[in-house]
Amino acid sequence: MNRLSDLLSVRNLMLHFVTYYGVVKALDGVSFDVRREDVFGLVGETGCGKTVTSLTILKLLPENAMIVGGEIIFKGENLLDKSEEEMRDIRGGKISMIFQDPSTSLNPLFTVKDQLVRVLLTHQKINKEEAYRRGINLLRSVGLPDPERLMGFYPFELSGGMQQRVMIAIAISSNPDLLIADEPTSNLDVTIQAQILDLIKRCREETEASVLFITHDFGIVTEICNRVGVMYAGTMAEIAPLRELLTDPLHPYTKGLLASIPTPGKRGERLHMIRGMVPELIKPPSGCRFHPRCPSVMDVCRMKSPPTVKIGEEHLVTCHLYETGA
Amino acid sequence: MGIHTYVAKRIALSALVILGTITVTFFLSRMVPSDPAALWAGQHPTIEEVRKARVMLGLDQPLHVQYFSYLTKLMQGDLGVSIRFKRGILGDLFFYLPATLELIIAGFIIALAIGIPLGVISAVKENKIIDHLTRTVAIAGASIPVFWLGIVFQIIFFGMLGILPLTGRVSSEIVITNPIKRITGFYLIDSLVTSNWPAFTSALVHLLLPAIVIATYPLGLCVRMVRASMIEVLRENYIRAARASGIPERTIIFRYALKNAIVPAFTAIGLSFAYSITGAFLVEFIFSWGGVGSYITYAIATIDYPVIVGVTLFVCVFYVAINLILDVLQAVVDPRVKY
Amino acid sequence: MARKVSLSPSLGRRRFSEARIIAYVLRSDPLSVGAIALILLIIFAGVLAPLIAPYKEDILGIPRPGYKFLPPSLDHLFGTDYFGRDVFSLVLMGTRISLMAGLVVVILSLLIGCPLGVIAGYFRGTVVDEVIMRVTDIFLALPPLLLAIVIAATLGPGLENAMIATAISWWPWYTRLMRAQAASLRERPFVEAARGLGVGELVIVFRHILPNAVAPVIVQATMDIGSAILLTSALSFLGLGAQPPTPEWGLMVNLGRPYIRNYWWYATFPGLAIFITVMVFNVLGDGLRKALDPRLRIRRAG
Repeated sequence: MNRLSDLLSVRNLMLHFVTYYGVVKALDGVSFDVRREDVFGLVGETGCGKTVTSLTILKLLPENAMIVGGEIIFKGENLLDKSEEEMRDIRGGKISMIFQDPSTSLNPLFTVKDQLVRVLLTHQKINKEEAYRRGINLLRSVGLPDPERLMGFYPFELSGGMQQRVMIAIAISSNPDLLIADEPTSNLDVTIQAQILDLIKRCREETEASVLFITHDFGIVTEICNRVGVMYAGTMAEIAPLRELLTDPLHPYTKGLLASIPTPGKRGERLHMIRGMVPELIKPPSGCRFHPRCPSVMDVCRMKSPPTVKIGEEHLVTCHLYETGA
Repeated sequence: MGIHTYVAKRIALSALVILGTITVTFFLSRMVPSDPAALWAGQHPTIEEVRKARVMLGLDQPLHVQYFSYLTKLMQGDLGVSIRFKRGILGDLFFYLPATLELIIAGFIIALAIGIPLGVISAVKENKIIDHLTRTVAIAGASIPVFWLGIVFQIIFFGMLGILPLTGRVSSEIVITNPIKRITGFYLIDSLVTSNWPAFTSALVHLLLPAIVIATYPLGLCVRMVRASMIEVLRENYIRAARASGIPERTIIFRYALKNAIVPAFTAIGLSFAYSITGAFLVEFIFSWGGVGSYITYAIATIDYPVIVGVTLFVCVFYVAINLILDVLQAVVDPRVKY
Repeated sequence: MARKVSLSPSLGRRRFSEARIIAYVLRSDPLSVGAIALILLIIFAGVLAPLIAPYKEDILGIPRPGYKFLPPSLDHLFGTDYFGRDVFSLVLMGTRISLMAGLVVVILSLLIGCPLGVIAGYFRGTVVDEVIMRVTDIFLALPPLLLAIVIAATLGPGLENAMIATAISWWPWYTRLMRAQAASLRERPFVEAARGLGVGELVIVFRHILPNAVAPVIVQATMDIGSAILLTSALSFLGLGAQPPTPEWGLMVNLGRPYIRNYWWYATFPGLAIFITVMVFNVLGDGLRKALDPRLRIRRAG
């Protein structure tokens, strides 16, 4: 459904990688919407395709990637139709991305000033002095003390938290409509994690941007997201508002995920595990990709891909269990 | 440690290495089967003349005394005397040096000017046709016998096409009509400074072929190193992040990636400059260039052993000095190197 | 495509399956396949030279006056030289010399360099290591050709001396390589186990570490055969190596030099032979290096 409040609509995205060992069917019909002022959490285990999805949105994929189907509608236009030139305007301008490891995402041989000013000059028609001024303000707004001195630093001279703040400054420099955050806190200390999350929340409030937040950590999801999409092996298992997902998970995978989170209340119990392993995607399982591990598996699951069913106002689940007429 | 300590430490180590080389060459020189005293005394010497030569050359002293006197002489810059020319070797070396330097610098500039862009293009278009072509060219550069290539060029450009000269640094007419005043010894610079245009053109034309021949090895190396380095860099996260910020691709390749790529390739490329000096020897021989290479190849032909050793030591110091400069430069350029 | 990694003291089994992967990757690279084919052809030509050379007696240097300086033709593919000898036959016979020279130099260098390197690596940090590395540094302080020139000048002209001279300037590279290998192998559990069992240090070094460290060095050595040929022919070109009438390629280039204006073939074809031979080894080496690069074997998407 294409509502006016939809900022980004990913529809039935299918992506393949051509590798030495075979064709990896990385994304198999992924669909979700990010609305204005959403913080949409994209959750899943490593390798489920969440990072790949975000890279596809910005068309930052390697050479051996092939988009075989679907659309990515951003503010009414299909990004997949756009030329490289047009994408360059959008990247860093209307859609920005921050990455998991800030220490490797900043060029070690160039100063903060160099990298920040260059991005400002790329997207805004200002001169160097103005860009420098705005850069200072940006650094201050992300909570970095003494921005003038910081401008002259090299990335390796900054701590992990500071590096991430610089990245965020770069990302929000042109007031993007959508900020994609790919596990921005996974490589940071827990205390810094909280600060960065706060910062992202604050940025969102101030600029009214939407955030597509990618993570494998449900704890972070509950902190910051208002809607959640659970991915598994290149498919979207379930989408729901945060509260609903936590209180009423529908997909067996989501249930398993939530059950395996250790919480203080469960002390003394055995850790819940989802039996089996994440499948390899050159020859994915037939029918529903989760069926080999599903405790509620039925015959139809092995044969047919499950449909996406809408339960209630906002809740979508892709599973045969909820198939209408089943 | 600060940069000064670092440099000092490196210099000390280099000095040790040079000392070691001196020792090795000294003992080698005492192993020569032919008698240097007899060679010195010239054709058909009498026994008396040979004996006098031996005393003069200090060869009648015990070995360790010879070694120390050798060292002391070296400290004073005395590299010994050429048997053939009966002149001080060091003086001759400095006379011939500019010609060689002009040659290898010209060759190196050509190698970099072609090699770096080629390496970058090859990396960006990895595995496409142009990449395979470039890699083949690079390997060829490392495989071509330099002495053969020079001759082939002479055959083609002089023998068959007649457009480039055969040998020498300038044409013999220029020596008579517009002789180049020797200021630095670099013909290009000297003729430019004195506005001697005919000489400048002649020197340039003569420099062309030998410089290209010398450039082949560093070129091949440069292309391969830059390519390998660029490919690695282009895979890095920060390049992906830069793309995600919408920075134009050209800026990313030539401003960001290239700088990151050059730094690790730096040392290897710099070493190829030092290595090209041996290529220079062969090229000078073929083109009668009149530099250190001609000097030493003549010494080889006449078994002028002191010259061979003297030039070797000189080149050794040169080589070690380049290594040292490269190390220090690397430390300066790369902000991450801790010193 | 899972590989079994054995933890036994001899890493031989792992090396074998790795060799098969290398062979597989090499097979898919057309340049490498071409290079291997050419190398085999060259070796073939060298071995069979006495049989296929049309005028094989020419290497004896007996002049044939009527045939002086004939240009290339069907009769004499590469023309004839100053003495009227068939250059093609000379080049063919020279193949054996060059190949042998390359092989001998590399083997000699390995024999000197590997034990030193292994010892230095195993006793890393000790006086033994320092001494060996300083000596290596001294020999590395000179460009290879120059050192070879000095040594060859000392020993006197001749192909054998040239080979020795080249080997002496070459061994330090292998010492460095072996040292790095040995230093990392030293930390392996099987070494500790051997030590715990009371096996003598030198035995460990030579029976356990050396065989396992030698693989990448062998690869490098194969590639170096080309460079060794280049060096020895350069020495011959300068007059320090093979002497007439030996049909050595570098020597022939030198002999042909005075005549390049009118009789270009004498200097050109032997040099071409050097070029092709060295290039073919370098291409193979490049292919080997690519095949061994772990990153290029793309891991499965996880």
